[in-house]
Amino acid sequence: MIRDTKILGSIEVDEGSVISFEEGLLGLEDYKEYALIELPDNDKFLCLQSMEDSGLAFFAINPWDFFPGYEIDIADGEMAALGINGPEQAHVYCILTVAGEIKDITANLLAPIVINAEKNRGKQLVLAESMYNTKHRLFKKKGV
Amino acid sequence: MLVLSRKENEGIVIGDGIVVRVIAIEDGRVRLGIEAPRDVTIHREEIFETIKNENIEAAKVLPGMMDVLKELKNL
Repeated sequence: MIRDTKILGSIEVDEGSVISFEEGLLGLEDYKEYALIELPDNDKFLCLQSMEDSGLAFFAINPWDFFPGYEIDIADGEMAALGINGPEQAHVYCILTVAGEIKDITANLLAPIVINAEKNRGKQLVLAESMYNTKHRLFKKKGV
Repeated sequence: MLVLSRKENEGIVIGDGIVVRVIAIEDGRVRLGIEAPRDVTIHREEIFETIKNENIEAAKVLPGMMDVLKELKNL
């Protein structure tokens, strides 16, 4: 199906790749369906695009590309809600925020997006009691 | 909202299997102990507010940022 997207304009989105977020994302609970779209000529960044509102999109990363020591502990209840039986089924992404200049881009490691790619179900987790916050810089500040 | 008064070591039971107990009260701070089944997630309320605000901020992506990201990926 052809869909309008915020970043890439009108593109073909495979219907079978639409991920359903039963609870939406925090603060955006009304939007339940997203597609994870790869960006052309860019294997590090992805776009999480709402299927319900072409104007709603996020940049996302595989957190381990930038934060190799990142650790997440998915609660049994969250695993069950997503129908995940083992860690290999859980695909994890973190949403990026660009506030100001793009080199100051940060990743939200506190609330990763976990997707069961086989069942196309996703959820934004909150890593309770973790050392992470919502703003981890992707690129170190020069001179610091 | 239901409002109940509890003293130290007293608790409340919510539904099936959730117990919230007042462990200590000191200097305007209440320590709560919570027993709940493993599939019940428990978080401090303000953490949700922080994440909500971050999501809304993160949604302000612009199409032009994609080109800059291409340059940044090699950093």
